[in-house]
Amino acid sequence: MSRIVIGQFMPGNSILHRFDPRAKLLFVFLFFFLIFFVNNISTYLVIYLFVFFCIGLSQIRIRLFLGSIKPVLFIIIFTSILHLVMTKGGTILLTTPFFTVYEEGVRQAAFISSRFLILVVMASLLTFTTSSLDLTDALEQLMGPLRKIRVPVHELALMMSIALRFIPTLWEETEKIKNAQLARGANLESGNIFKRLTAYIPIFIPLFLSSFRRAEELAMAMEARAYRGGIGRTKFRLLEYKRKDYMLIVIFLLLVIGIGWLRS
Amino acid sequence: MDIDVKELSYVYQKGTPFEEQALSNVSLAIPHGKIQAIVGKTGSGKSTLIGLLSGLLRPSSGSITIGDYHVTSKTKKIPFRSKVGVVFQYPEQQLFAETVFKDIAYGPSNQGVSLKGIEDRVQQAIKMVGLDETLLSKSPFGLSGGQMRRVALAGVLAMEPSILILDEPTAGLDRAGSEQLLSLIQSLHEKNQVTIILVTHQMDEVARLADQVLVMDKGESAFYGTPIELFSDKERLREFGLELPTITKLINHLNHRINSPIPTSIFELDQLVAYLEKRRKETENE
Repeated sequence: MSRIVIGQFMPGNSILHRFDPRAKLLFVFLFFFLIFFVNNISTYLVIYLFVFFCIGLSQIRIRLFLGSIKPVLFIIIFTSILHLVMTKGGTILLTTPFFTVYEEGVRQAAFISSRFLILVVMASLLTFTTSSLDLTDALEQLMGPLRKIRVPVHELALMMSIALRFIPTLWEETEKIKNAQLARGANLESGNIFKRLTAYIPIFIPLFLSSFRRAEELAMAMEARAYRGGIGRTKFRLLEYKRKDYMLIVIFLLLVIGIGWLRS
Repeated sequence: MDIDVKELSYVYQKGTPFEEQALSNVSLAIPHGKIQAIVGKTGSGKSTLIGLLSGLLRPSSGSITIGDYHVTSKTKKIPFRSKVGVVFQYPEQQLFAETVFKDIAYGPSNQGVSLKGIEDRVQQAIKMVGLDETLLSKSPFGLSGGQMRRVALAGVLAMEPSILILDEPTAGLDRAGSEQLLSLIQSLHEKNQVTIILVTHQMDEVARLADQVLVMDKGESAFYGTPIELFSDKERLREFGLELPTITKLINHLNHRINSPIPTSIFELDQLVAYLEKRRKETENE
């Protein structure tokens, strides 16, 4: 029922919650690039320390981050195994009749999965501490210049916020329809993939229908209030950079210098 | 099949920070062929109780016995699912097939009924809900709201459940539509001897149909008894945030003006009219 959706906003009042969403978004975006320059144990240590520091600052329980790692865990394990088995170089650590594990393989596996983990955790930090409204506002403003080359920035941002808004609604709806069909004897759990997919048709069709109906109703309601896109529209909530937001630049530069100095 | 529910509790997402006790220690007994009403505010645990009775949820503690089937927190596969038909709120939203026939046939075919059997059941079900057979080849999405709801109801009836759960069956229907649906439920109950569990906000429906009422409040059973008992205690009704049925209001209103009161156990307009006529004849004779 009230299952948490990955990346859901966790209301709070930590320093991370109070940063300007644009500053946060830019910071995380640049941070993702920075991670690809991290290439040895000391630089990874710096990044790990930084990430844990941020988690601490966010006052959000670790367990929620574990929840957001779960969906990518399979990819992480899969690539780690590939690296362990395939990458050659360095001393041999383990020999079996089927494969040989080299030192380099272990290093690569650890680094690649660390990179994945950090990406996921940083992305979750952003969405946990920023409401979807703030996030789309930030995106809209950051992409503002693209309007000059006729990118419909406002419309894209609006679509994104509507999509985010309707995730829980659709989730609830799916549960309802699923229960109704289960009560009519639907068998969703057994059979091969093809059988299971066809078993879901009685759930998807009503779901699509109600989504279309919802979309139509929403469009009608917006038109009834004379909504006409972003032209000349003023904002109720204005975003404003504060001193602490400029601090993020300093923090980022420190990270860049630190990693540039320590990387090999 | 008799239903016997003993100290039933249900906890959502047990063992997580989102743990929530939705139902605690609810007991009720519904003899076969009775109509049981369940009323209560939103979030009072009605939906959870339905989920449990229909076998979609497994109890956290306590037990449900339906006929010979017994379900506790340890039961793996809930055996009575196909015996209990559930018509959820706004059931027309669950329609999916390209024809009315296929939609009604969905339940029975899941039950493994033979092709011939399915055809018979679909024919019967559409008759039971009072729709024309010519609709069977039409798309359910071209029907009116009231017709769609009947098709959805037929889809459940075609499974021939011995217990029928109706979750606010008249929600969103106009007066005529609700009236039709209620008489339909009444006649189904009389003809087929189906046990009916009716979840509703309408006290008029409770008064008219129910043999027993369960009032739910914050996941607990706040009152369990007959409609007459429930509607005779105005204080308690106010406490539950429930209204009197229209007919009881009318009788109370009349009783203020006359000396010998009309019994408030009358819940149907026909009965009230008959009673008043009888009284008039008696006074005329005197």
